[in-house]
Amino acid sequence: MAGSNLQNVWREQPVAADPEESFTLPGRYYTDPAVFAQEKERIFFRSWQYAGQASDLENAGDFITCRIIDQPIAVVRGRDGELRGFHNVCQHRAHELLSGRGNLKAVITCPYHAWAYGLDGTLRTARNCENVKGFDKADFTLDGVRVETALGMVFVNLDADAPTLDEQAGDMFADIAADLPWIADLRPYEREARADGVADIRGAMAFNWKVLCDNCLECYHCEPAHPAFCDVIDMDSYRTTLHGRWSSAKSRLLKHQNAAYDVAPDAANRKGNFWFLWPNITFGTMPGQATFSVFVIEPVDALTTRTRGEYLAMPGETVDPVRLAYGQDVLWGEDQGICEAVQRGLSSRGYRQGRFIVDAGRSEISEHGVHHFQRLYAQAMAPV
Amino acid sequence: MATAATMKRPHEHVVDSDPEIAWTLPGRLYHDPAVLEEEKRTIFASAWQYGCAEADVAQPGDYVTIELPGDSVFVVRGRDGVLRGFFNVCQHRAHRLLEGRGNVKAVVTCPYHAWAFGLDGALRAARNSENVKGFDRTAFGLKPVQVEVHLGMVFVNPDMAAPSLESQAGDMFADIAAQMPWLGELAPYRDEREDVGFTFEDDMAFNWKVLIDNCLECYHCAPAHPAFCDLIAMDSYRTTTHGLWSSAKSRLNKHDNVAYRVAEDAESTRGDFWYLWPNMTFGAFPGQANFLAFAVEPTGPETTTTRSDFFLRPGDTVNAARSNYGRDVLWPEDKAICEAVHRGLKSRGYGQGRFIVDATRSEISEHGVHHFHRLYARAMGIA
Repeated sequence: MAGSNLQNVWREQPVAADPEESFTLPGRYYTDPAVFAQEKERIFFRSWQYAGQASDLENAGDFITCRIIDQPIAVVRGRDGELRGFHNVCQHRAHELLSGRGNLKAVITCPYHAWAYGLDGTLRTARNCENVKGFDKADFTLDGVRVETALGMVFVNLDADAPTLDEQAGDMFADIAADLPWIADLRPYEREARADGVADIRGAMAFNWKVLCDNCLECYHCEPAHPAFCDVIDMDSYRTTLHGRWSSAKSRLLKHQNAAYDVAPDAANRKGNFWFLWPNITFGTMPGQATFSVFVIEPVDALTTRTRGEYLAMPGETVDPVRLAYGQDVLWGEDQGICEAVQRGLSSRGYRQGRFIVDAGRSEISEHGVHHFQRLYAQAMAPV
Repeated sequence: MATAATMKRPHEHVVDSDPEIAWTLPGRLYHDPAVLEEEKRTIFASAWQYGCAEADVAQPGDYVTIELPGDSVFVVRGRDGVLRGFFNVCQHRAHRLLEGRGNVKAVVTCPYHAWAFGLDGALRAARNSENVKGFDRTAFGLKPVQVEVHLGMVFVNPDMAAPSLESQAGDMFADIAAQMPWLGELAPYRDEREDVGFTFEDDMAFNWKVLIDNCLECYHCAPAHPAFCDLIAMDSYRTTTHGLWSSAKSRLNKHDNVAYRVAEDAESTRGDFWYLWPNMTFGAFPGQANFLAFAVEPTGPETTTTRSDFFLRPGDTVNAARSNYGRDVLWPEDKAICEAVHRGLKSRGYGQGRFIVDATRSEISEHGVHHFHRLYARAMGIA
């Protein structure tokens, strides 16, 4: 029989606990709309998701909005100083309440019929409701969502029962702060010009969200796919370490003058350090000026992905345009091409599962970071 | 099994028959592909729907194709002067027969294998069928749909067993005619340069029912349509509900207003609108004699398009200030609302709302939306 029949006889292997023996996630998880529907329930609506920057929420009445896939969310600083998260939807006829970010004087007013909610989510006024039989304002309080902040970032979680972000990743934020002592001084950089604030950065892209997560979690592909990256980063130093729901990849600058972009001899940062937080957020910085990026990889549907996030830099500093262009055009262009090609391959009848190339030394080219993600994924998706 | 964040309320309220105590349709009915399939079967497959202007099928051989949710049909004027409607599909191998609108001389010829049907739907010629054992042409006539004409508008119904439109909404057409005595003098107005017919984009990002809901109440007019409230006397705005239709009638507020100027001698100083189950509105704004027929149609569970015809006196050109107001102000206001509502209806933080219906059925009462939701719930078997 020809190899084309392999699909029929292949017995799917689980993502095993031991990365050295495990197969990768089967291709069908990257294409099936039913899988995506389960991912929403079991992963995205149960995990901590990036909402925005705390610097946008300093004053009473400040608000930000975001969407967790198809769920509109708002985070508001109350007049009592409390930060609260809400499902950003009017309880009357479901119009979204807030858009973008800004400041509210006293109430959240729906643009549709002008129902007004306090910053604590209670319905204050609903025109004409006094003439509606048995109308009880208490029935129409906004549904809350949980909010936590860490390192100036705001996170929300739609699951009332999820462990706190601090329990899940407090050690990661401590690790970031230790590696990047200047992080608290950074502020969002050229948001409007770069159009990559809370808006999506690159529009809809034709691959499953996990393809990009996988890609971010190993440097086995760096040498064949990112030659300039291997000239700015010292590949020998690149090490991925695994933790509960996060992992990190840390590396050093290779040389100041390199094929990617020049790094000043007195640059604030000589590291290329990256963190991944389950299920879909990466944080990190490249060598050079002090910067920090938050990069959220978010599915639109099983075959389409968007990214959103924030780029932070020192107030008053202009980030080297050559470095920005390298990241946005060269490095990202290389990765986007890879992700699109992998997505096409994952739909192939000629592909079932791969093996993780994990070595005992967990070297710079070992894929244990991808295994860590896929193992968390397999556990989250297991029937409850 | 629900996650902690799944459903706001433990159980759904049905849409009660009393609008004063009823809750709105649950959000889940606005985005589920299975719900749309059910709507096609239980609503659109047996509902009267707007077809075209009668003037577009005035001459023998004139035809117009009509894309209904789930079905393509066409109407054609026979050589005997009779207007007939058919499913737009060849009975041989199912190719579409006609596209757009136009005139066929004598037969409808399928582009695939050239089977030819008379304007009465009978199969006239099928190449080589004479050499097919037991081939019976009479078994391959086009499948008819019902056609009725009211006030210069053609309506179709894919269900040959459905009650007549006259029996369902004859009183609505009589009401329109009484309100607009000049309606019979109007003709379809088409201007290549302007989208005066209010035919919007093909795939607007909301469920069709969101736009219907929006058309059926003026509770949102004050917050969302300030210019409209300067044009129309809100105090006069009254919605009344009937069997399968409702109307909202109002008067001009002032000739000089922020929406568009209405001439002192304008033929109409009224803003009157009608809704016909399941997806049509009719009506006119103050100003020159005019009339809009407007159908809202699903192209998917989360996408909607519209079909419409705009009527003016022959020779009149459309008042530019008014059409600009509709195209550049009023519709963008409503479109943004519909998109934001659609996104909100998918939220885990929304279950159902309450209709804000007061005892006097005032200008801001939402009983017109309840009327639609109640018809919907009954049609879908969830009342």
